[in-house]
Amino acid sequence: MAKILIVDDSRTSRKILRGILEEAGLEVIGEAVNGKEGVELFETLQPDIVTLDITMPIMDGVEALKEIMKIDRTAKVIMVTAAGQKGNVVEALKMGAYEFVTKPYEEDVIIDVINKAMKA
Amino acid sequence: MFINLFGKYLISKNLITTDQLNVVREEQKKTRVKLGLIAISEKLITEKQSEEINRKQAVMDKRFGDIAVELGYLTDAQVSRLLDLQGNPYMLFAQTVTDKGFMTIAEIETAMDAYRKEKGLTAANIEDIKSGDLDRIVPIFLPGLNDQNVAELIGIAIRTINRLISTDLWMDMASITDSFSCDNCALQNMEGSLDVTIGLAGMKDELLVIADTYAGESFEHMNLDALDSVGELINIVNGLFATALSYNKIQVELMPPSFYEEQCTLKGKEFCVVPMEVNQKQVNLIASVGAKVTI
Repeated sequence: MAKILIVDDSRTSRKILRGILEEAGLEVIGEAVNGKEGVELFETLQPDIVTLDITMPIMDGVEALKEIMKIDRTAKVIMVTAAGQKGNVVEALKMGAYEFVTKPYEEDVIIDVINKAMKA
Repeated sequence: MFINLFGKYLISKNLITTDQLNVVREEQKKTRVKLGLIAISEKLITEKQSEEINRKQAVMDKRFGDIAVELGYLTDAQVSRLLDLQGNPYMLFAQTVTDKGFMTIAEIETAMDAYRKEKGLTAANIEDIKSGDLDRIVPIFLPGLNDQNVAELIGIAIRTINRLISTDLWMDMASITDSFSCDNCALQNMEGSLDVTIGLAGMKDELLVIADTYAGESFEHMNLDALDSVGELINIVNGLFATALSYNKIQVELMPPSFYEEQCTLKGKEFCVVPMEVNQKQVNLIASVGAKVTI
């Protein structure tokens, strides 16, 4: 079963995503509320997949992705964005992010992306 | 939107009672069939296609019919025919009110004319309101608003609330101000070629109507967790607006939302406040393009 780390400053967004993932039988092994905490938890929990929100205080998602890639170049990171963050998404994909999904979450889309990431 | 705009006026003039309007509302819920259902029953699309369109609608600032056309499931002519089958909100309202014996058609027409005069509306405005089409209704309530970007931002916000929170909406004339006081609010700025702020502000626990529905839970009060839920909704609005701006080569970056759970005064430079009701709870939409709104 895939072990997933959710990094998002919004409690609502984390809760909705956790619900979707658990309903699909996936295991959420941790939640972080900003990029800095996300990088720390990535190191200690060693998740299979990280979902990383782009807009966060303290350390944003793109900066956190850079740090995660320094730790593990093969990390599977799915960026989470609002519409209209195309520039950030392109930058993140160039830096090695696996894929991106847009809020509000479409259940089948996020599960599909995670399943593909697990097989990649 | 139509039933709330005109219904509220009729109540204020003692032409119908709140209970009678609620009866009409319930009847209309039963009789106003969703476009997707009509399309399925007409065998123009499958249930699976309708579900796909509904899912896409949750993340796009587009109407059911527009998405169906884009996906190649329906033609413009078919959408137009389905809208005719769905019925004009005014006609449905008039039919229910007269069937129930609350008012005659002549009384409704007289009241509609008085409503037009009192609100300073044109005959064309009334036709727009009768259509129930948000794209036609919202601009009527933004008088003197010359900045098309603000109008676009407000349009996106109201359509998003209509899509993700509730179709039970009412709005009044927007005002332009430098200061606005509220009991709590969630604001989000965008920075870049343009400074943008969008927010939702409320009194007491009125914003719970947004927070509860978006998060899918019941908050006891408008605390920080509830405001976080409101913040996620405005984050979606801003994202859609950022996309619209990018088509005009204007690049902006979303900042994390800010939450204020205590009484506060918003300050800015000629920002727009749109009084709204969502499920009959009062909320205020705050929008500014060109200058930020701060506490």
